[in-house]
Amino acid sequence: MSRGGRGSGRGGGAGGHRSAPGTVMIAGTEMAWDLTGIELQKGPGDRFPSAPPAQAPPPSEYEKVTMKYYTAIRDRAHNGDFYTVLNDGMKTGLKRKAGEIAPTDESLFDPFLGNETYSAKYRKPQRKLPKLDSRPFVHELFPPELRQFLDRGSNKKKRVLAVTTKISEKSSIQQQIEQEEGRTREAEARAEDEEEEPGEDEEVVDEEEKEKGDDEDNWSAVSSDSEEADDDYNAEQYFDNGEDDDLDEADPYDNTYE
Amino acid sequence: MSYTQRETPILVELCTFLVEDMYGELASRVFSVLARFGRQRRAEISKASYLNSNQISLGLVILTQQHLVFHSPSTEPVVFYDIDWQQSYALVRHAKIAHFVEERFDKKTANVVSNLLTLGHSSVADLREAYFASYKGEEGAVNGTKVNGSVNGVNGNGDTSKTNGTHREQDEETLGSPDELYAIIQTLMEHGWVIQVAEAQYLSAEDMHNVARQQALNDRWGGAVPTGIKDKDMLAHLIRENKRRMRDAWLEVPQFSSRKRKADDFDYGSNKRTKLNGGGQYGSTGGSESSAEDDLVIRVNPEKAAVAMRNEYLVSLVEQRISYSTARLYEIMLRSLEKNIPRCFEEYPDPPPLNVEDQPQHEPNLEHVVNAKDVAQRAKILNIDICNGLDPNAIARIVKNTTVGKDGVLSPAVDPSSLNFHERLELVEAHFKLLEDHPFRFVVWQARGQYRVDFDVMAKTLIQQEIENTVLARKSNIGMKLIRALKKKGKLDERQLCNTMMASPNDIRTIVNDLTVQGFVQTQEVPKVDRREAKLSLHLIWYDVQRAREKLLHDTYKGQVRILQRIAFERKKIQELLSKANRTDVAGNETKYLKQSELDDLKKWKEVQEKLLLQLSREDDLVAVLRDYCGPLLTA
Repeated sequence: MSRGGRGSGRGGGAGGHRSAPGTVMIAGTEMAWDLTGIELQKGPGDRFPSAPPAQAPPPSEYEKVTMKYYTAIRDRAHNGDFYTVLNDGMKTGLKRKAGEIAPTDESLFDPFLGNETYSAKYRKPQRKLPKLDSRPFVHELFPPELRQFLDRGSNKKKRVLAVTTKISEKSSIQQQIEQEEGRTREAEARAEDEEEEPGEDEEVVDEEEKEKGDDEDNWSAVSSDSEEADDDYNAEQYFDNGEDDDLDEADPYDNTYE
Repeated sequence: MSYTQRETPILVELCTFLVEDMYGELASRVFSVLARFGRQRRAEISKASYLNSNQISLGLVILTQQHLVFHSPSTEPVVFYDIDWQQSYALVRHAKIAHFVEERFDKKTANVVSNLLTLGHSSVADLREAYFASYKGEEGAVNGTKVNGSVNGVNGNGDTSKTNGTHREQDEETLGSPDELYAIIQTLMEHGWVIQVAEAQYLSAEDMHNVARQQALNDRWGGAVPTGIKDKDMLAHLIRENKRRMRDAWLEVPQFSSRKRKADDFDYGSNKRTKLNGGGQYGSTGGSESSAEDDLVIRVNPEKAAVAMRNEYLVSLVEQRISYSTARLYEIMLRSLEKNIPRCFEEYPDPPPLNVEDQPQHEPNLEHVVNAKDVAQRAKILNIDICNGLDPNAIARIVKNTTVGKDGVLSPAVDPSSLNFHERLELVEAHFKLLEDHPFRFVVWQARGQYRVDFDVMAKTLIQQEIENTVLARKSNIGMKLIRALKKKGKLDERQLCNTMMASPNDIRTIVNDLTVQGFVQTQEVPKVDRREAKLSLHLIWYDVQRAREKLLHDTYKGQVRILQRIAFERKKIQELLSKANRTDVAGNETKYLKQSELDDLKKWKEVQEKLLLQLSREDDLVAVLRDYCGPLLTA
């Protein structure tokens, strides 16, 4: 008697009965259920079945435009005169609790990355206090006690509001990513060209080097760079080279001064 | 437990995050003190904060300029400050407002609005100076090219075809002349997107009440406080009237002197720019002479965003539930109403009369009526396929010389552009019939050819629907069934509830418990005897929309706080890289100075941030449904 292709022995019962193909034996009764090809779960179910978190649907075209506006408006505010960064280690403006020590400059200093380097001069200046002397205010709308602060600063320069004439300005990150993508595409296209015309390989490289003249710029060739160029700082290579040198066969006096 | 030891209210946290995200740390620190302790003087803020008084004053200047705080009227000797919660929360909506305006008008208008949003308020003269300061200097140069050139710096190194593309786009965005700016401001004011700034806008609810009260007392009783019930009712009525008058005065559009009337082009919120460009914006002389309206101070109307959001939401619902074409027709209808709706609901309504007989049965608002004829005409202009989404049999009945075949296809096919006026009108009305028959009652038949939109009734339905959606997502069908049963039947005890829902007590109990803990359902214990024993008391279960609404709103705020916290965390993770990318030498040539891995990280950060911000703005849609479309729901 064949097993009828059942995947499990569940219908077999304790008495060792064999059911006919296309039937199942349950508690001594033959049921005309064809369970062929069905995987029956025998063990208990998972206690904590893995449930991946619900994913939000991707942005629609409409929402993408709104997001662009959001970042544009926020970037503008961040570049404006009102944006301040205090960086004083506090979370709210509330007074410190009794006994809590005010964070000092030393405690806020990051010894790993905080050291002044040459490139610090390029850093974007951060304001601790807002700059109020660059734009005009409507004085009547401010409470009297605040009006004196509006007139502070130099009176020489004419006060003009900062407006942008262009709204859909891409954020800086967006720009650089697009640049990068453009470069990747270029590099891919170049690679394809090179494959097609191996004879002109050297010329192309030469041209590129002439164009750039800057090592950092040429990031697409970084992987080959690290192997071929003699980088003295690569410790592994240091030892590798030592192993490879076959001192026995070489002239021992080859590298010595005479 | 003292107040300061308690957990910070969630809205305080949310708004502090939003202010910090937009205006930096100083503003948000001052904001947080004021938000935590409420209405205060400057000296008191100083006392409660670790900041010095100079910092606090400067912070208050920022907050005042951006309308994030109220202050008491300048006639009073001491100035009190208070948070403007609506405006603080509205920081989330800045992008939406700009986008709505772009969609309804054009990019130039959106540019003006987004600048106004970042500036807080500004006088028209200052705005003109800002836009045309450089323009005035180079009057002799070719019109407009100078502005384009200076902005175009970034895109300059693209290939030629690309440069042309961006160039044209900028022409669409850049204002040509001061006249154009005035025209845009006038249009925006007529449509209610921009309003005048008055000192009264800086009054908190309390101050505003006092001012209105004093005014009412002076007008009618000569400053003395009246006694007697009738007079007191009268006073309350006058106060409300004063408040409404004060508020409506902001919306008035001043007579703009000798400006070209272009406003008609914008009717029905057309987003077709072809008509606009016909106006010849560059032809006018660059008049920079001062005008009468230069002293006008303007800002963006914070209430208008909710009106537009409501319309968008309703249209998207129709699109989901009925059909695309019906949604477009509904959009035309709602946009035509939008101009005349300054806010979603009346904030200072007169209370309904006390005796039940006098209470009106929801009197319809006749301002929200649209002619089907107008919609049909507009649909033809916008070239909407009005046959789409209708039953072929209904079309066959309306359009002559066409029949429905056995397979349900019209033969010969109907060309929507060749229909005559009468047929088009009837097709549009057929769409409106679909809207009317929907359980949400998107429109209501008013008179022959006229349809009305009952926003107030719909707002309640929307709230109920959002609550049901949430319960359905968190629990199962049975949770939603429970909510619906309780809404229909009122307070029930367990046995009655089982009968109503036709379910066994065991099934219901866990759900009732869960929903009670989550705050969607309330329970009440009524003792039958003078002792308080479980067996001898009634245990009632009931559902209150207002409570559930507040709970859900609270949860949504919490979700938004978590999103902002997550953004802050993600930013902190790559803080070093971000500050490197923002360096003056690196910005612009990232690919030159940054490594590939750093570029990848930046890209990933951008994606993460976008995803989170998107979720934030989606949750904001929910907040609008729950909070902004109708006032408190009172159930007696």
